[in-house]
Amino acid sequence: MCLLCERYSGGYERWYLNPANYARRLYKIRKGEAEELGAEANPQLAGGMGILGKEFLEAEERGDIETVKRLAQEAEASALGVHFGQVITLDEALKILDIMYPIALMSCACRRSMYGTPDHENFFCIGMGPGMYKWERWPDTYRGGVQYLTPDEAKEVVAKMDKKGLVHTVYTFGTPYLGGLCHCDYPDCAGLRMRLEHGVNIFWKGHCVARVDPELCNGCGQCVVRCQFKALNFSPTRNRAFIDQSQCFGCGLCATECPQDAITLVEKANLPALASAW
Amino acid sequence: MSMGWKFGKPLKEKVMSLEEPGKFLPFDADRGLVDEVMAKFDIKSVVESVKGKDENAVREAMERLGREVMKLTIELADSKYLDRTGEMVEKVAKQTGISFSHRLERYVELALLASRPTDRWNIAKATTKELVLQVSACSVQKALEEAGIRGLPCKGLCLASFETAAEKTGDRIKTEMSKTLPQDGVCEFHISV
Repeated sequence: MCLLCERYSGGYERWYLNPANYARRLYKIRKGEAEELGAEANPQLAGGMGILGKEFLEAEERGDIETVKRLAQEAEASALGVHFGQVITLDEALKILDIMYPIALMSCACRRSMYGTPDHENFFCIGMGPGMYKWERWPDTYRGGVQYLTPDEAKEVVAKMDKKGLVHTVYTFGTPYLGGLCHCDYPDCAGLRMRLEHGVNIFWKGHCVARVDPELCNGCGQCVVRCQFKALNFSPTRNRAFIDQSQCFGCGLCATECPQDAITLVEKANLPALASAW
Repeated sequence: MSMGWKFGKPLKEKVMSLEEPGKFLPFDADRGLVDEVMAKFDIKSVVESVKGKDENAVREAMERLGREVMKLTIELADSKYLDRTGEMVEKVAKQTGISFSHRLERYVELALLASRPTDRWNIAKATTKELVLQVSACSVQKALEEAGIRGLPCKGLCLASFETAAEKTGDRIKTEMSKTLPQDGVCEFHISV
């Protein structure tokens, strides 16, 4: 079983389908002095690429495996408690939009830092829950502003992101509080780069893996270009798509665009070799 | 109806921008609100005043207290002690057309903080259809118990305060109690629209 589900599912099928993980008090009593922002000022630093410093990169470059391993473990432990992501499917994302509120479309910090994407073209992320009433506390993160959405409007946005081929990912802001529904791809997403380029797991796989039915697959190859994880391959000889399930993150982007409905998502829990691969 | 969202772009007319970046904004509840509400309502003396009275009289006193605390809280929270969270809750409700649950939750939380600041409580669910409040340590229930008043007459205080808040927000609510402190160690209120 997924460690997070074990700890935080509260009887729901998945930990991120538990409404309690999106609900928080709006208020505490104000202290006398002005509030210290501290680490809270930018929680993304506690789990984004900022979690790996120069020391890690230098150790990686000189091949110091022990140091790399130690720093990676420290980074993973820290991220797990504060800010990390897990891949979810489109269906799960749509369910989430009904179990929390408010919903705010906002600009993506990763794309801003990776490419300098201007804010007005960078509204790919969704801020979730009561923390979004206090977005002005983090002026740097939210310098592009926010646009609040109804659940139905948010579903339209998320469906469009899926159509375009972006991976739905939930992010914690002080685990298990879930405050972000991101739409990721490689190499734009910092979490994904940490995982794929540096082997640091702050971007967890989802609960399913994809499976191709070779009888239904017509070899169109549309699924292959949608995979951000290099899990899908195409065999010209057999004219079929193949999935390396050990590489699959279970986002389901291949399944949502398959014109033959040849791809289905299967529970990892039923596959002993993959059940604990997060 | 489609909102006509263009990939990666916000709808310009709906974007809320930073008004004064760097300016301190008071998101938390003001201590003054607590002081004023506490000065006006003393739970222990209300409980003392109903000691020995019949069940109906106790219930009515509790309901009256709930309504009055909520009325004063709303009045102060929307004027003298208006905070930025409250302003933003109202702005979001205006933009989306969705009032429930946070407009109501705001008043419920502020009334709890202002009248019973040592109580322990938690919001377990807050969607556009349902609000779940759990109270695990309640000074009103404790005071009633110490005064030898059995049952859960203080339930009327909470329910009346929620109704008063809902009158203000215009939400037509239905409240159910699935758990109670004496039996379950927590009072759990499911408020739905």
